[in-house]
Amino acid sequence: MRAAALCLLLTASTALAGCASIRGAQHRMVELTPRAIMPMDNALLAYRQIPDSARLGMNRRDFRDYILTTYIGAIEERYDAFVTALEMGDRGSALGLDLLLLALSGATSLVPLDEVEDLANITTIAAGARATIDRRVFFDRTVPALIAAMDAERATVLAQIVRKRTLPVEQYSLDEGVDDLRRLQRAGRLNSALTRIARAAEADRAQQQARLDTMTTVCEGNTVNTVPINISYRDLIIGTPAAGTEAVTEAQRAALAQQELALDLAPGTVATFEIVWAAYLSRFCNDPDRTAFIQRVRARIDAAAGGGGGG
Amino acid sequence: MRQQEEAAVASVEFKFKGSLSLGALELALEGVEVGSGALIKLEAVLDHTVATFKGDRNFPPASSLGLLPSVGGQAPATGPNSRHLFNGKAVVLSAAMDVSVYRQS
Repeated sequence: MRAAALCLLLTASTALAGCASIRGAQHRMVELTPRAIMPMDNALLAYRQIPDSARLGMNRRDFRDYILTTYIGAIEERYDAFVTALEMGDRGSALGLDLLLLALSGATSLVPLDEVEDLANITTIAAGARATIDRRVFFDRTVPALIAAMDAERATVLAQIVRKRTLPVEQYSLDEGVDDLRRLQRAGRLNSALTRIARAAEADRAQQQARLDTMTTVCEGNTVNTVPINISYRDLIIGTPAAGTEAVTEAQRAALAQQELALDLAPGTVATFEIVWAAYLSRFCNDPDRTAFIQRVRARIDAAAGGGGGG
Repeated sequence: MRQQEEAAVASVEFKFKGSLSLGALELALEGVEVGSGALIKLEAVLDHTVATFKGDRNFPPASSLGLLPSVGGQAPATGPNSRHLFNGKAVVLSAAMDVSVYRQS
């Protein structure tokens, strides 16, 4: 019986291990990868020769494009292998624990804001029990973002190369092409991706701060009594008027509340319930202050009604 | 029967300090609902909770809001007198968290 259970367990674990080792990418089409790449120093030397025979029979422009194409293919091949290693869980070889810890320490300021929360939680866990960091959690959440950032950066550089390849060699030489190839290679680095994400996160943060700046802050200090107090304020302005104050319109009540709040409105702006409501929410932070304010507004309304209003 | 003419009103947003506890946030939201209409959205924006209210004058019953932490995007089960409204995010005690919003009857 025990042996049968052990066998079942072994079978299950083998099956699970098989699932865990599913590749993150299709097998490479090796024929797509340039096999015999001319060393760049030889290419640059040949590029400067006068006869086309020094450039495999090609003119300078064709030779430039040929070299760029072969090197782009080779860079793509290496990048694909790198990304596949990241996605496949070959994380130990692709990234070390040092990078993990480095990234954890600063990741909350580097990743898109909607992922900061998750990372902050992971960092909190790491601070308390570094040895028990679940590396997989970290990688699963951040690697897709890093790859997307690298892809975006590389796409930008590739688009520039494609555009420049339409130019004659006088405007885009092989030397300049080599510089672009180096940029393409750098765009596939993790630190470039982190920098790009950090820039995006900073822009996102500024945008969110600008949004917050336009909003009214509701003052804290609410209790179970705050709701009925707020309702009494609301009803005082837009509810059924108390006996003797019917003549005071909603607009007049809002204006009286505005006066009591000493609220400066932009020229041409008429006080409304919504305006004096928002100001009330942000101005008063405890129930006694709220109650006292409402009493003062009520007194103003009573006075406006000729002193005949009820409580 | 009195007819009420309701002008088309835009929703209104207020922000709440992220230092509030979940209970204090709930009280604060209920305090706003009585004048800004029903709560329809909760977001965590930087160190604040941003709440969006309908902005109309169909005020929900007083003190009928309920906030509960949600785990894994799942709204916690509630009793027969509670209705799940939506899930959102809030900054509670300076930490962003998922919350489920309920209406109690």
